[in-house]
Amino acid sequence: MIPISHFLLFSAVLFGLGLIIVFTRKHILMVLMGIELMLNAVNINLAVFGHWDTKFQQGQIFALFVILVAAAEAGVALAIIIKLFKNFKTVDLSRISGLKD
Amino acid sequence: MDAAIVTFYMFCGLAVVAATGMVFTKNLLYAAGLLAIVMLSLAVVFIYAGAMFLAVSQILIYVGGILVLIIFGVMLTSRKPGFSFEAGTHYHFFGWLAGLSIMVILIMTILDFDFTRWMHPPEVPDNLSGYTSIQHIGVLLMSKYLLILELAAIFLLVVMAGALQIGAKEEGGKAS
Repeated sequence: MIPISHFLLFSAVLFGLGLIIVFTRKHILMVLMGIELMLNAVNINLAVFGHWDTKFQQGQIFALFVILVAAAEAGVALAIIIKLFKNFKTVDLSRISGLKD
Repeated sequence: MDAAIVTFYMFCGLAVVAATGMVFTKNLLYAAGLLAIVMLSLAVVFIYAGAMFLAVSQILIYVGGILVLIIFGVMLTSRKPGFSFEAGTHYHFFGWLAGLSIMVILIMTILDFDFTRWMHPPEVPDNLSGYTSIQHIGVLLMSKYLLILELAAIFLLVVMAGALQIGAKEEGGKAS
């Protein structure tokens, strides 16, 4: 039996790495990948603690809806990124600084 | 040491190494491939956490859906000839400060906490003992969580319509 703290430590490390990616990267899709990494790290915690709720499985169900929202977010984000690329001719976050050019 | 436990730590290490590679790699397509490795390792970790259904949905939705969408986005936003998939970096100091400090705070809190209550998972109640975990989730989604499942369906419909509306070309030949 793997102790629960090892799952939590693993998820903390992944969350920190995702946050570093979100802050330091210039490319807008790389920021999106960092956000997905952070959402995944949170899902580990939900799944592990959900193992203790044998009656209603709330952890697993909640993680399932987190995945659903992540999928929706990725779809809308891709549409917005394509629109941004049409308007600004770049996906570099340090050069996209206004809502209109 | 048990082979199953060794496998768990191997996949944990693989995920951490791949995520670290994502922080340092310059190439966007390499980063997408490393993200696929992280997602697949996490599916294994979910199985060890007792969440079979989540592991399968992880592979189906993340690796089969979101990752393909991200690679699609990389291809669509780099159409210029001679363009490489390079991505620069900025805000080194504050980014690393924020990421490392939240990592250290979380790790110190976890190491400080007393997990004796959480040593063994509780027994499955008698009225559920015939079910597997996946059957149980199916029954729950159709009974206790039916409303939120239907709301999720409506939410996905709205997202689809919104993404189409944002991504569509303007009608009437108006200059955008």
